[in-house]
Amino acid sequence: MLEVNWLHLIPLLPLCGAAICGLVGNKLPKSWLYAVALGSVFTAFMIGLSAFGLVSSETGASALHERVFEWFTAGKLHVDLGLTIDRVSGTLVLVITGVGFLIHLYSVSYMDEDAAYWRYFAYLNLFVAAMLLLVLGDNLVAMFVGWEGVGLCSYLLIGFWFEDDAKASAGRKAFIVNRIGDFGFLLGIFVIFSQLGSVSFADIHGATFAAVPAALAALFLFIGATGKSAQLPLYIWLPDAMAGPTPVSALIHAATMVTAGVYMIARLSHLYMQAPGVLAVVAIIGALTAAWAALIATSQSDIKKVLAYSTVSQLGYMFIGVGVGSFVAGTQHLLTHAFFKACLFLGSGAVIHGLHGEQDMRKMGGLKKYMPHTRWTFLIATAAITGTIPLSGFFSKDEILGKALQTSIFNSLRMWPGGPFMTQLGLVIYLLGSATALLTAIYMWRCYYLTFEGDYRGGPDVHPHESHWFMTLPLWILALLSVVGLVLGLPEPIGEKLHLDWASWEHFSLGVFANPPISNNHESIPEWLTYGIALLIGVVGWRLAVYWFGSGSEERSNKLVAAFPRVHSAFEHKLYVDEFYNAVIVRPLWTGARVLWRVVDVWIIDGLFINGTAQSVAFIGSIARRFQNGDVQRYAAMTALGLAFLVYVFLR
Amino acid sequence: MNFNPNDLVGILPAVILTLGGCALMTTEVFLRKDGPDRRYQPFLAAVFGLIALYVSLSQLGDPSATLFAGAAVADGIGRSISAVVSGTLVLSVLLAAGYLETLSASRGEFYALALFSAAGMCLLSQATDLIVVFIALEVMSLAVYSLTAWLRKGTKPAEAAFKYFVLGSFASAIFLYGAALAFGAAGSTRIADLALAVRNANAGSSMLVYAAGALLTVGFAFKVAAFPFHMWVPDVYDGAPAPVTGFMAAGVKAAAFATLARILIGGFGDVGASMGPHGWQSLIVLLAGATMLVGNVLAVPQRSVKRMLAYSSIAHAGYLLVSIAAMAGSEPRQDAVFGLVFYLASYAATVIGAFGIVALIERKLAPTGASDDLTTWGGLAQKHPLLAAAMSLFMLSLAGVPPTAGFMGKLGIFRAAIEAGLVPLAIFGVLTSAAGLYYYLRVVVYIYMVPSTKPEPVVGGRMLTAGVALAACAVLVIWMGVQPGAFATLTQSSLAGFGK
Amino acid sequence: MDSYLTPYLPVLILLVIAGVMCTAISLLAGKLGPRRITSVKEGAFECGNPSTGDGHARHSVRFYLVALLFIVFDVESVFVYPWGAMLHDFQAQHLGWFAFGEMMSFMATLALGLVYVWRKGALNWSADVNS
Repeated sequence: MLEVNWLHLIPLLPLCGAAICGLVGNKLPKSWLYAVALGSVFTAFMIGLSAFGLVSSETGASALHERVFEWFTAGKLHVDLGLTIDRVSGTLVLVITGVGFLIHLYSVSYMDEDAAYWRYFAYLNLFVAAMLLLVLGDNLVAMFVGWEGVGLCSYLLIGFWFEDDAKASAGRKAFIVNRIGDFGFLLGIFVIFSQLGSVSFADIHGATFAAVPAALAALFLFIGATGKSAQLPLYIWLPDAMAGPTPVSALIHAATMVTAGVYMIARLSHLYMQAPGVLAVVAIIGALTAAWAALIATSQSDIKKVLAYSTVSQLGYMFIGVGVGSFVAGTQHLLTHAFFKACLFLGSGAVIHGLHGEQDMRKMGGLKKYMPHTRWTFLIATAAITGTIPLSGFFSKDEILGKALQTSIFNSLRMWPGGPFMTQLGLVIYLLGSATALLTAIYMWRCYYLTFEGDYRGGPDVHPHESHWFMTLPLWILALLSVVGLVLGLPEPIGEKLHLDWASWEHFSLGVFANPPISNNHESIPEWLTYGIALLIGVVGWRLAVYWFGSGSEERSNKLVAAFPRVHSAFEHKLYVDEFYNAVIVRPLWTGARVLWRVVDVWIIDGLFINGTAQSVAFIGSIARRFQNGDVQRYAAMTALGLAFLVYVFLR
Repeated sequence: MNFNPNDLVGILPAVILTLGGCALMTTEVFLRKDGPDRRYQPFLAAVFGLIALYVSLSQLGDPSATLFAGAAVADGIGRSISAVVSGTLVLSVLLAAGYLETLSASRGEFYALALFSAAGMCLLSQATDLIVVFIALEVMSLAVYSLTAWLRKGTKPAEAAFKYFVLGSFASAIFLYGAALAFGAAGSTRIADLALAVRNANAGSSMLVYAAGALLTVGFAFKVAAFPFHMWVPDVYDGAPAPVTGFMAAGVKAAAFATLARILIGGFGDVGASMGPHGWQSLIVLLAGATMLVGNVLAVPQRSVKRMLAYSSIAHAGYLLVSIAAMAGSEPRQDAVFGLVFYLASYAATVIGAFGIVALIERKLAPTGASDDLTTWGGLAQKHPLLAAAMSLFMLSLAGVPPTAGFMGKLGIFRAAIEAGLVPLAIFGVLTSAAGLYYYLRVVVYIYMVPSTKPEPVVGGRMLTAGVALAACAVLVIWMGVQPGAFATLTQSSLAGFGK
Repeated sequence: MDSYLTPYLPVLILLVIAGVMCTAISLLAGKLGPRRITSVKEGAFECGNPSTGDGHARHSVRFYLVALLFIVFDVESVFVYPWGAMLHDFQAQHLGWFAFGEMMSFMATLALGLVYVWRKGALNWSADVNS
C-alpha cells in the first residue's frame, strides 16, 4: 500500500466542474462550458490512468492510498476520508471516467438543443464525482456518501425534464425506492461498526465475524444493493428511470451506478464469504431477477424499456456471479456489460435522436439504410450481450454460469432446512441462468431486427438521419471495447497461447477478492461442454428471433401472441408488479397519510395543540393580567398569600 | 473573637468593589457640575470590576476557608458567584456608559451604586450568618433600588423604584422574621448552628425551625422572582434603565440563588430530600413548576421586548429553581451545583447582552417618552445587521437553542434534575421552554422580517463601549455554548467547601 | 399543640377574646346606634375654628434629609460610647490597637460620607439641593 497525495484530484476535478457548470454555467459561453465539463472528466481519466499504471505493473504497489483528512469522530466511531485505488477500483475509475467522457462527448451533440444544457452537465459532472467517491472510498461511510450522491444525481437526471409530471414522478419513484435500500445499507454499516468498531474496508478484510452478525450485516447491505442495483423486489424504478435523457440512461442506469451494488458486495467479499447463507440469497435473487426481467423484456415495445429490463436482467447475472462466491466473474461481467450496454443505450439514443424522439420499435424498422454507424455498432453490442463467441459478453456470462455450476460455497449450508436442495443450488441457478440467456438472445435480436431490419414503419413526416460524429465516435469506441473486452475472460489455455494471460481478469484482480473454496461440485463437467451449451443457446435464441422477427416485423410472433393472449398481456404489463405494489403498499400508505392528515394533523395537531395552545395561553394570560395590574397593594397581598401557602406546606 | 487580617483576603472582591465605589463617589463631588470630564467614570468602574473578576477567578482553585469566625466563608460557590457578579458589573457599566451619556444622566454615583451593589452581591454569596446575609442583602438591594430610579424624568422610574422598595422591604421583613425564628430555635444566627437545630429538632422546636425555613425561603424567593413573589418584576424591569435591568437580572439573581442554595443546603440539608412534610424539595419543585409556567405563559402576550424579558427572567428563575430542587440533600448533588453556576453565568452573559440591545433602542426612545414595542424593532436587521444578529443570538440562547450558552445551561440543569429523579419536573421544564421559543423567535421575526416604519436609525448615541460589551456577551454566549468545557474550572470549583 | 408554645396559650386566648370584643362592640354600636345628622352636629364644636386646608401637612424634603444625616452621625455616637467604655477591657485582652483601628476605620468611612454630603451641598440649608 503506497501513500500518495494526489488521489483526491480524481473525484475533485469533476466536482469542481460540477460547481462551475452549476453556478455560472448559464453565463459561460457554450464552448467554455463544454471545455470545463469534458476537460475535468478527461483530466480525471488521465490521472486515473496513471494511478492504474502504478497499481497494474507487476513490480509496483498493489494499491495506492490517500488519507485526505480526518473526517469526524463520534464516540468510538472514527472516520477518515480516505481514498484507495487497487486494481479493481482502478479499472472502475477508468470505466467511469472513460465511458463517462465518451458519454459527455455524446451528450454535447445530444443535448445541444436543450436550453438547460448547463444544468445537465453540472449534474453529469456531479454524478461522475460521486461515483468516483463511491468507488475510491476506503471505508463504508465514504462509500455511503458516494452512494447517496449518485442516488441524488440519478434523481436529478431522471427528473431532468421535470416540467413533465410523469418524468418528475419517475425521478421521485427512483429516489424513494432507493431510500428503502439505503436504509438497509445504513443498518449494515451500523452492524459492522458495532461488531468491529471500525468501518474501513481494510479492517473488514482482516476481520472474523460471528455467524449471526456477519449474516445480518451482509443481508442489510444486500438490501441496499437491491435498491441501487435494481434487483427483486426493488427493481421497479429502473424501467421508469428511462424518462431521463438517453445518455444518462447509458452512463448511470447501465454502465456505472446500477452496478454499485455488485461492486460493494465484491469489495466486501471477505465479509460475504463468512455469510454463505446470504450469498445463497444473493445468488437466488440474482437468478430470479435475471429471468424475471428477461421475460418482461421480450414483450416491451419501447426500445429503452427493452434495454432497461435487459439491464436489470444482466445485473441479475452479476449478482449470480458474486452470489456463488466468484467475485471475479461478477465484476468481470460488470466491466464488459458497461461497454456493450452503454453502446446499446447510446445506439438507442442515436435512433431516438434520429427519429425526433420516437421510442416505439413498432414505428421503426429498416433503419440500417439511414444510420449505418449506429446499426453496425448496435449489431456488435447485441452480439456481445447475447453471448456470441468470441465477443466479451460470451466469456463473462459463461464464466458466471460455469462458476455457478462448479461452486461449493453452498455445501456448508447442508445443515440448514432444505439442505439437500442447497447443495444443488448451483445447478438450479445454472439452469435458470441458461434459460435467461436464451431469452436474452431472443429479446435482444428482436430489438435489433425490429429496429434496423425490414422496412421503415414510421410516419412520412419523420426523416431518419445519421447523427453527428460526436455521437457516432463514442459508439464505435464502445463497440470496439465490447469486442476487445474478451481478453478479460479468455480461458486460461487460450490466453497462455496468445500471451494474453496477464490481461485476464482473474489473473489481474488476484488478491483483491476473497477466494472461493477450492473443491468443486461438478468438476467432472469440462469447460468446453459449458461453452458448447452456451454457444448452442445463443444460436438457438438467434434463430428463433430470426424466425419470428427476421423480417423486421412482428407478424409471425403475433400468431404466438394470439395463442397465449393472457401470458403476453401479463408480460407487456410488466407482470403487474407496479400494480401489485400500488395496491399493497402505495394505496394503504396513501390512505393512511390522508387519515393522518385529516384526523391527526387538521384535527388534533392544528385544532387541539396549535390553536388550542394559543387559545389557552391567551386565556391564562388574560386571567393573570388581572393580577398584574400595577397595584402595589395587590402585589403585596399576593406575596402574603404565597407566604401563607408556603408556610402551610412547610409546616403541614 | 479573634480578628485575622487574612480574612479580608477571603472577601477581597467585595473589598475591591467597595473601595472602587468609595473612590467614584468621593471624586464625583469634586467635579464641576456639567463638566465633560466624567468620561473616566465607567472605565474606572470597569477597571475595579475587572480587578475583582481577576481576584475571584485567581482564587477559584484555593481551598475553602471560614472567615470572621464563621460569619462568612470563602468557598467555591462564593468565588464563582463573585466572578459572575464582577463580570456582570463590567459588562453593565460599559453598556451604561453610552446610555447615560445619551440621556445626559451621567454621574459618578451611578457607578458607585453599581459597585456597592456588586460588593453586596459578593458578600451575600459568601455569607454564612443570617445577620451578614441580611446586611449584604440590604447593601445590594438599596443600591439597586436607587439605580432603578436613576432616570428621574417621568413617572415610570419613580413608580418602579417605589414598588421595588416597598415590596423589597416587605420581603426583607419576612426574611428577618425568619431569621428571628431561626435564632429562637437555634440560639444562633449561624447557618451551621441552624443545621444542628434542624438535626436535633424535637416536636416542640421543629415548628419553629420549619417556620423559619419557610420564611427565609420566601425572602429569597422574592429576590429571585419566583411565583407568586414575582409580581414586582415586570413593573420594575420595565421602569428601570435597561442597563440596570440587565445588571439586576443577572447579578441579583446570581447572588440570591447562591444564598438560597446555601441556606437550604447548609441549614436544612438534612430534611431536603424527604418528600413528606418539611421536605423543602417538594416545595421548591412546586415553586419551580409554577414559576416556569407563569413566566413563560405571561411572556407570550407582551408587546414590549423589555417587558417580555422581564417575564422571561421569571421563567429562568423557574429553571434555576429546578437545579435547587435537584440539589436537595445534606450534601448537595454535584451536577446540580455545576448546573446552577453554569446557568447563572450563561444567563448573565445572555441577558446583559439582550438588555444591552434593549438599552440601545431605549436610549433612542426615552427622550420622546415612548416605550419599546415590537414594532420599534422592525428593520433593525437592515440598519444594524450586527446588532440584529447579536439580538437573535441572545434570543436563541434564552430559548435554549444549541449551540448557545443557554442550551448548555438548560441541558445541565435538566440532566441534573433527571439524575435526581425529578423526571416530571424536567419534562415540564423542557415543555415550557419549548413554549418559550414562540415569544423569543417573535422578536427575531420582527427584527428580520418586518420593515422599519421610520427612516431614521433605530438606535442612537455613541456605540463604541456598548459595542465592545455586546461583542463580549456574544462571544461568551457562543463560547459557552460550543465549548462549555472551558468553563469547567468555574463550575467545578464551585463545589469546594459547599455543603454542611 | 407543641409543648414549646403551651405557656403562651392563655395569651392567645386573651388576644382572641379582646379582638372579638373590640370588633363586636364597634360593629354593634355602628349598627344599633341611631344616626341623625344635622348641620349643628356637623359644625365646629363650640369655640373651635372651622378647619382649613389639607389634613396632611407637608414638611420640606430637606427635613428628611437632615433627619437621615442626623441618624447617620447619631449611630456613630451610639457605637463610640460603648466602645469607649470597653476600651480598657480590650486592652487587657491585647486587642487595644485592633479595637482602635476598627473604630478609626468606621469613623473614616463616616467621614468619607460627610465629605460627600458636604460637597454635595446637602448641609447647605438654603441652596438648591436638587441640582
